[in-house]
Parts: sequence; structure tokens; C-alpha cells
Amino acid sequence: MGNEESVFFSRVLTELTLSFHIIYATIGVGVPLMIMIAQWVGIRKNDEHYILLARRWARGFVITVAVGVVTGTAIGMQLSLLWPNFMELAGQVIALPLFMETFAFFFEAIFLGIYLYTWDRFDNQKKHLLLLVPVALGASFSAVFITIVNAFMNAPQGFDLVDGELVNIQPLVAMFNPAMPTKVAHVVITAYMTSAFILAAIAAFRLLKGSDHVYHKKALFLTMKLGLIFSIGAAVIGDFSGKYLAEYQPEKLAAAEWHFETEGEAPLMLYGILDGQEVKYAITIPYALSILAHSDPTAEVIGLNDFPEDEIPPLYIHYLFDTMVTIGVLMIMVSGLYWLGRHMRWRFIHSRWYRWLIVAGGPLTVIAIEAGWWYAEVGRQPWILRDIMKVPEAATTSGHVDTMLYLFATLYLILGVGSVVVLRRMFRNNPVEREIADREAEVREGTRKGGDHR
Amino acid sequence: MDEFLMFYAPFIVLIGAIILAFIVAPMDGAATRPPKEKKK
Repeated sequence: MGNEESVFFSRVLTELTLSFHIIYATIGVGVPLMIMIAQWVGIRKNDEHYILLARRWARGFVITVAVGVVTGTAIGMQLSLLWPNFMELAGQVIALPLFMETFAFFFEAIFLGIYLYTWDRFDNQKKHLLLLVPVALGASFSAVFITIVNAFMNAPQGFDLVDGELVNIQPLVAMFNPAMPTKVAHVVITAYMTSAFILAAIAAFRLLKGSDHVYHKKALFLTMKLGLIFSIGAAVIGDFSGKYLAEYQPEKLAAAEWHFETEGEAPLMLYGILDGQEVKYAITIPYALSILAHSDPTAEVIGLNDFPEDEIPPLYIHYLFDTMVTIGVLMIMVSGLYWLGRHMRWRFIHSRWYRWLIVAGGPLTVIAIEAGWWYAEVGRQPWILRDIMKVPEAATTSGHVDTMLYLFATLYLILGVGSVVVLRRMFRNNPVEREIADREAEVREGTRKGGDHR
Repeated sequence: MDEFLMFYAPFIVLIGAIILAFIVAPMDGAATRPPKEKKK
């Protein structure tokens, strides 16, 4: 296998692993907060439905954590095996956040085990809820630390480059790089948003399938409210990301917007097709790119023609950016209308088509997450470490990467199908109506047993 | 201004959203309210 083939298959395998892992990682980061909020509401309002929500979400969450561990380990392994030159160069700098990410995950995993094992073992439910705090913190901070590594790849700092080596390393300066705040906040808040909309999709689906239980109505209202809050937050942080890109990675912003000439009063281009450097059939929003980049409608935005041709990212990232933004805006509208409709008692939010729209919101937000990550990674090209090392220089020269690709693809297929089958069976064999009836009977008879965490 | 938006504001928005989620979550009066009757 030639070097070019090794680079190609290394890219494909990393893309595949990240694309698969991000689904489980996003759920793994977001769902603990959803469980915590549901249990907190249940305790505060003394409402068994919310407690049961937390209990059932926690059960499903364990399956996604198990798969996330496998794919997360695969990424760690592939980072060293597929990109050895990158690890040799930058390994010392990113070792600290990588180690802290592992520590945060262990923190989460240990307390998750204790949390699950101690359902019904506390007389005071608040003490049980406290066990969830380290789970939610560990989940979110593991996302924070691994995103810091990614941020460093976009805006490396905290070292001196001497004879092609990174020396005088300051790990904390490297961690607090300019890309860190917007990237970390955007990744974490979109994980909360996506988790809320996935859980909303499940509740809406149960209502569509004929269950009219108040449990599902409460679940839907709660998750849509949370989804609305976090999607608005994601949009606001996305705007801050635009300002970061304009300042530190202008070629990425320009490529996403098909912005070729440096000019003031720059318009934002949505959709369209590219004919040479001419943008056709696009929706143009005047001044919007200047506002996104510098909060000023007349501000100058750097165009792609100011960069060497071999340092311009692939221009198809425009569609990835548009996909992410379109779905984000759509979900703000769907959840906002649902929240308003609930308060105004509008009929259409109870219609079948609107519930199907909410169901579609689950997979759509996952697509938005995928598009966002692809935009972030492809938009950094051709660099693996911006302005220091290009992707082909970092890749392995070993053969058999293609074999690894096929083996990992098979593994992800088995994990993906397996986790869906297990989750479906888990909840189908134990419907919420039966569980509520069982729990009410237990309470009536006063025979609640300790250690029940079905 | 842009420096504040790039370095501090993202965390303020993130933490603010989490706090707001905890404040708003228990307000579920509308969750079970039936829709308006159709006008005859």
C-alpha cells in the first residue's frame, strides 16, 4: 500500500470512527443532565412520573455509555496508530487534556454505577440525586477536555517550534487556546440540545402510537422546553464561534460562506451552487456575514482569494454549515411553537403531523451534530495542526489500514444494530404503563423492596 | 467587545442555559392542559 493510500484510508477510518462515536458521545454528555433535571423536578413536585422518567432514561443511558466506551477507546487507539507523526509532535502538549478526559470519564462511570445500584436505597431521594451530580459533571467535563484537544489542533499555542519540534511546552497555555471557549461551549450545549430532542422524539412517538398517558405528555413538555433553551443557547454560541473564526481561522469562515473577495458589508449566503467563483441560486442576507464575523454590518471580512490555494479547505463545507444552521433554526421554531402552543392551548401542536415533526427532530439533530463535526474537521484542512503540520505528513505509512477500516466498519455496524435492538427490547418488554401500575401497587401494598433498579 | 464574546460569553451562555433549564423545568402546568375546544 502506497503512502497516498495509507493517508486516504486513515482519513476514512478516522471520519467513520468520529462520525459513529459522536452519536453515542453526544447522548452520553447530554442525557445525564436530562436525568438530573427530571429527578430534581420529581423530588421537588413529589411527582412519581418524573422520577420514573429519570429511572427509565438512566437505564437506556447505560447502553449508550457501553457503546461509547468502545468507540472512544477506538478513537484513542487510532489517534496513535493512524496519526503517529502528529502524536510524536504534539503528544506532550495534548497529554494533559487527554489524561484529564480519561479521569473525568472514570469519575462519571464510578458514580453512575453507584447511582444505578442505589435506586430505592435512600429514604431521602435528594441524597440519591446528589450521586448524579458527579455523573453529569464527569460526562460534561470529558467533553470539555477532549474538545480542548480539538481546539488546540485549530489554534495551537503554548510551545516554541524549534527545528520542527515543539519545545518549552506550557500545557495550560495550550489548553486555554483561543478556539477553546467557543468550541467547548458549543459542543457541550449542542449535546444537551440533541439529547433533549431525542428524548422528545421518543415521547412524541409513544403518543403517536396510541398511548395517551400523562407520563408521555410531561416527558414531551419537559424535553421540548429544555430543547428550546439549549437550541437558543447553541445559536448564540454559534454566533460567537463566527467571531472566533473571523479572527483566528478566516479561511474556514470564508470557505463555509463561499466568500471569495475581501470586502465590507459582506452578505451571508445560504444554500445555492458554485460555478467557478460565482454563487448561483443562493439566498443572500445582506450584511449578515459582516455582523456574524465582527458584530458590525460594515466590517471587512477576509475572502478566500487572500489565501494560498493549497491552504483553502474544501468548499463543500458550505453545505455542512448550512445543514447544521438550518436544522438548528428549525428546531428552535418547532420547540418554540410547541412551548407557546401549550400555553396558548393551540390545537395544531397535538396534531399527528406536528408530533411526527417532533419525532423527526430526534434524527435531524443527530444529522446537525454530524454536519457540525464534519464542518469543524474538514474546515481545518489541509492542516492537522494549523500552520504547523499538514494531514498527509501526520499519517501512518503502514499498510493494511484498509483492512482495519473494514474490520472497524463491521464492529460499528454490530454495535449500532446491537444497541438499537437492546434498547428497543428493553423498553418494549417493560412499557411505562405497566411500570407505573406496578409501582403504584407496590406503594399501596407498602412492599417496596430495596435495590430494585430494573 | 469581540474578545469578550469569544472568550467569556460562551461560558456565560452555557452556564446561564443550565440554570434556566433548572428554573423552567418544574413549571409544567401547561403539560397536561387540554387544547381549546373547536368553535361550533
